[in-house]
Amino acid sequence: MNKARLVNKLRNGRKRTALIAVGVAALPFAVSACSSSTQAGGGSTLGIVMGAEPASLDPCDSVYEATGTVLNQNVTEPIILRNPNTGKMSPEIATSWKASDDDKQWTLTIKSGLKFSNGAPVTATDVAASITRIFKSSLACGNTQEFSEGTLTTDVVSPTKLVVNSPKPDPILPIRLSFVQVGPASQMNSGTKLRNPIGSGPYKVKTWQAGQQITLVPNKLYSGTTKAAFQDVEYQWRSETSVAAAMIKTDEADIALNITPLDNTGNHSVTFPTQQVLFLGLEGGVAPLNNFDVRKAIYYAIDMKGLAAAMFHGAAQPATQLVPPGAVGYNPDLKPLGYSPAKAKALIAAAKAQGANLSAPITIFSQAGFVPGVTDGIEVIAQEMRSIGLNVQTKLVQRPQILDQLGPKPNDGVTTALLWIHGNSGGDASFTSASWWGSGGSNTLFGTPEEQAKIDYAEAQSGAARQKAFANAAAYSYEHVLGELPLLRLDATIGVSPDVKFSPTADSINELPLSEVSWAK
Amino acid sequence: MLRLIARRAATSIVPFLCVVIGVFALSRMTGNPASLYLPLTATPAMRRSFSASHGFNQPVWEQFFHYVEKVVHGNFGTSLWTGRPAMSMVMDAFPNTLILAGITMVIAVIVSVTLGSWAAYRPNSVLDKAVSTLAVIAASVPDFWFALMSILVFAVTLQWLPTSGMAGPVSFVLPVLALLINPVGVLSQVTRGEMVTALAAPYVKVARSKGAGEGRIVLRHVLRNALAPTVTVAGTMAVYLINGAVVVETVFGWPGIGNLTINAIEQRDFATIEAAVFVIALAIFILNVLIDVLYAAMDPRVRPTK
Repeated sequence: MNKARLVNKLRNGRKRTALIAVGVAALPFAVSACSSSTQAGGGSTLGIVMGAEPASLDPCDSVYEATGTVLNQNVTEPIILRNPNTGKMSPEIATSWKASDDDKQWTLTIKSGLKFSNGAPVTATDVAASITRIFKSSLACGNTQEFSEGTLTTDVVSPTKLVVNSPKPDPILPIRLSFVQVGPASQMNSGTKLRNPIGSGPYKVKTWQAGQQITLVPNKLYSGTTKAAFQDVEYQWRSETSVAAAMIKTDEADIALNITPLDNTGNHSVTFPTQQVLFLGLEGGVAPLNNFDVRKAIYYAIDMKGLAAAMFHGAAQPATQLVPPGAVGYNPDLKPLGYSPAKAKALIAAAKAQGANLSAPITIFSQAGFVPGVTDGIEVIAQEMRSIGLNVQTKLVQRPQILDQLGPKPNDGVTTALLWIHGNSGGDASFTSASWWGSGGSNTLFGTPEEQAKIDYAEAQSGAARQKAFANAAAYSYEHVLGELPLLRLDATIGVSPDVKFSPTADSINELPLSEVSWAK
Repeated sequence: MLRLIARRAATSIVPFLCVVIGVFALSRMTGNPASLYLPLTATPAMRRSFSASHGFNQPVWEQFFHYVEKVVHGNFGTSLWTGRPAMSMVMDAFPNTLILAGITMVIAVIVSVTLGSWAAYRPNSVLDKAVSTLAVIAASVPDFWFALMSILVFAVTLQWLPTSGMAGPVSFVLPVLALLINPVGVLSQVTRGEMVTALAAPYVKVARSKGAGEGRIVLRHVLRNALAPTVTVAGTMAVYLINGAVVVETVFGWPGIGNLTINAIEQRDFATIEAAVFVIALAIFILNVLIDVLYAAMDPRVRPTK
């Protein structure tokens, strides 16, 4: 081959290469133009992006965020409906409910004429099976956490009459029943978690493409008042919050749940307070935390604004109690103590004068990664406790090691403080006292008999007396016990496209009834 | 060739078994899943009942025996996390990773061999320096950063491509681009180095002196000799991708094996972890054999002697 031919060939080669390069570069756009887009955002499909794929769509897991977001009031309906803002209970599957004199037996009347999306009627047998399913230990249902009074049993009296038996007097059983999503007995008796549940809600599950998306379509047999407004609802999940937020900007989704205030949605996000409270549980039976002044000094030493910035990008407010506003038992008169290192040091000095053993080491435990900012948060608190003269170390551990630190434990030589989050979505203070408040709570590290007596009294009340009694107990704990230091009430951020109208409630991180969403135009 | 495959299979079986046994031991060291699956308020009786119904209360050796039985039958049981058969979950996710890895590696090899050869053909030219600089940058860029930036540019700003997900061919573009950047950087450097060495070899001078065309010299003689190390490195990178490009899958919400494995680990889902690791180990074992076969086909010197 002579030089001229070689040069010519190379030139031709370059032209070909250039053409190929242009072709390769244009390929994505050609494909983009040819592919039929099923993107949400506008049109008749509502797109919702969540933080994680649901593990199941089993009604007995409806308290889990991902499951509840898809199911609750969309595919399935609860026995009784609770308004998360007002706490008011209203009929849903049950039209009425009445307690026996000892509050151990509740008689429910089931609405007649209701149908599941498969055409079968909704009967008391289905409701009974939905309750019983929650207590099957092999299923490890998430909803068991709302039934701290023990396993419920049921007696079906007729297709529209059901008696629910509680092992202990339970004046707030209707609230607990608001966590029971109802499905047909044929599904509720199954021994495995459900992925395609049948319900009586305005939508039904069309498909679940594992790892990709869940699609709901209207349930034509739905006879309720909140008719389906969307032809399709697509749920996707992105663990990277910035990507979920970007999906709002690009019109790939209409609602992005659980993003952070730092994620850019192009000013299309709403931040709102939730029912979750960050707290520091203290093992008040062991030195130096067995001194009230020391516990109060720790509270004064923690800068809540700094902690909110370190852990939650500022999206949190100082809390005064574990029970959130709106719940029965919340005490609006309690005010934050405020950040005051001087007062903290004065209290420590007083404790020292009383002979408190201040050199005894305190270990602050928390679970690694349970919120993104936990590593910074636990160190901020430890440093502030050290600054007032306490001997503090930190340990980020896994959940089994957290369990070792909970509840009454033998004197293992470790003085425990636990940084944790409590979410009372039940709307009654007893959901807090069952786990994290008073000496009777299953996980509490400290409580006094006087405090527990006040809680026990409150739990036996109903109506206005219950509110007053729990509020009194909260004030007593705040002023005389401080077994759990309520630190921050957490906010959540949701991206909302300008195409839709949606105002989140405190419960929107747990469930998203589609009846609360509508097209903007 | 069959002897080569048999020999390679024999030497790979030991590490394969080690991985299969190791995953059982390591997953059991993370603790009893009852602590994760049951709410904190669960009573000790509920925890005992849960453990018993899933066999976590059995002695470890007994659990291991059942595990070996499952491995032999390829049935790893039901996922604690989702209630689905673990192997079905893995086989749903694995093809998604395989397609992504396959497309990425094909493009990576074509692009990097072209760039590397081009640069080596004109050593120390502007083109060579440009390719080398770009290759170093590409090999050094963190993939998660590149993935997020590509979303920002191509999806959010230009709105040419979807941000994430797996819906149609167009959704492959950004994940492939993010996975491509590192292999292209590394492979083009390897190809260039091997090509420069090969172009200076005596057989190239002999070929030129015999009047062989440049195209023939480069494609038939030089590239063939220079390509073998590139294939080896490409194989290593393919193993990384098959292992589940966890970061890229997470950023793009790609329903692949990496994403699944990470979720299964977080959920203490032993059955899914074991099934996923088994499938990944098997795939890597097969890939390694294929790479050796390809290597031997390209370079007769490494073929076993009779």
